[in-house]
Amino acid sequence: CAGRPVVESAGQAWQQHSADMAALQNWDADGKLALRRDDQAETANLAWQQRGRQTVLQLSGPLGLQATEIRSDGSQLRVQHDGAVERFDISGPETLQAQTGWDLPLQALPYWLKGIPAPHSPATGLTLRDNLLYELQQDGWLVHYDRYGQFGTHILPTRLSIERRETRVRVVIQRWQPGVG
Amino acid sequence: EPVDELLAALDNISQLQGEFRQRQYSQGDVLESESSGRFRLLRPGYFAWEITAPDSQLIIANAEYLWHFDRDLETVTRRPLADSEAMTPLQVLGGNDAALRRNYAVGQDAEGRFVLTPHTTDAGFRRLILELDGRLIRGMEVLDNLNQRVLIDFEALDPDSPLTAADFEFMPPPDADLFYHDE
Repeated sequence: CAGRPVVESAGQAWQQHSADMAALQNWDADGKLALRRDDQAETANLAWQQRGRQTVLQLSGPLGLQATEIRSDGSQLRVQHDGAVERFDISGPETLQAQTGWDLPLQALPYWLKGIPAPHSPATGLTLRDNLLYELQQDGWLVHYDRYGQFGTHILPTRLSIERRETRVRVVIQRWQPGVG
Repeated sequence: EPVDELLAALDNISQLQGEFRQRQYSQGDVLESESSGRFRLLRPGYFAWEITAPDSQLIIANAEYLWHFDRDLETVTRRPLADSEAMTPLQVLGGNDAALRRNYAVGQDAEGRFVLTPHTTDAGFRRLILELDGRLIRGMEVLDNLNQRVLIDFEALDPDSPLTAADFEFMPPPDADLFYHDE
C-alpha cells in the first residue's frame, strides 16, 4: 500500500513508536554503507556505536582495509585514518562540507538510522507505512526507508537511503543491538 | 633476503581455492565480528574473494580490473588494477612481484610465516602476515589502520582442481548501481 501522508494528528501508534525510538539512547548498529557523490563512490562496512550524544563510527573495506574511525559528540568531530587524526568543529550545519568536502548529515544520522526525524530542525513530508516512517525531508535531505526488522522488542530500519543534491547514501543494517552498553 | 624467500614461497602457489573464516578483533582483543566465504586464486593476477555470511560481497581481480560487488547494497565498484598500486592484502597474494618488492618491507618470523609492512602510511592497513605451507596458504592476519587485528583462517583447501581465467570473469547484474572509477 502507498505510504499514508501524516497530517498534524499523527496516529497514536506512530507517536508511541517515535517516543520509544527517541528514548533509545544507547545502541550499536552493524551493516554497510554505499556513498555516492558526483564522480566519487565508496562502499564500506559500518559499525556504529551510539551512547547518548557520543557517536563512534567505524568504516572499513573487506579485510579491514582503509579502516577509519569517526567520533562525534554533535559539535566536535575526530576522524582517524591512515595513522592520522583530524579534528573538525561541526557545530554549524555547513562547516563539515566546508572543511572536508563531505556533505554528510552527521548530527541527524543517529536519529534517521532509528527511523525518526532529528529533533534539532523541522521535518516535513513525513509519510508512514504500517505506523513506521516511510519517508521524510529534513535539513534539505530526502530520507527513504525500504525495510525494517525486529530486534528484541524494537522495530528498526534495516535498509534506507539518504539523498541531497549530488550526494546519495544507501545504508543496510544487518544487526541492531538496541539498549546495549 | 626474506622478500626473496616470500616470492619463492608464493611461486609454489600457482592456483588454489577453498573456504575462509574471518574474525576481527578490537584493539582490546575483543572479537568484534566474524564472516566466512570462499576464495579462488590463480597466480599471477587473478583472485576471487566471496563473502557469503553474514552478508554477501564478491571481490574479483582479473587481468584488467578489481571488481567489488556488494549484493546487499546492490552496488558494483570497478577500479583499474593498474592504478591501485597500493596493493591490498589480496593483491599481495595475487602476485605482482615487482610491486611487492617496492611497497613492502618483508620479514620472516617463523618457517613459512612472513610479515609484510607497507612503506607508506596510506596502504590501507598497517601490517600483513602470511602463513604459507608448500602449495597452500594456511592463514593471513591484517593489522588495520586502527590497530585492530583481522584473522583469516583457510579451510577445505584444493590446489589441484584446475582454474582458468574464465573462472574470474565478472558481469555486473543489470539492476546494480555501477561505480566505475575511471582509468
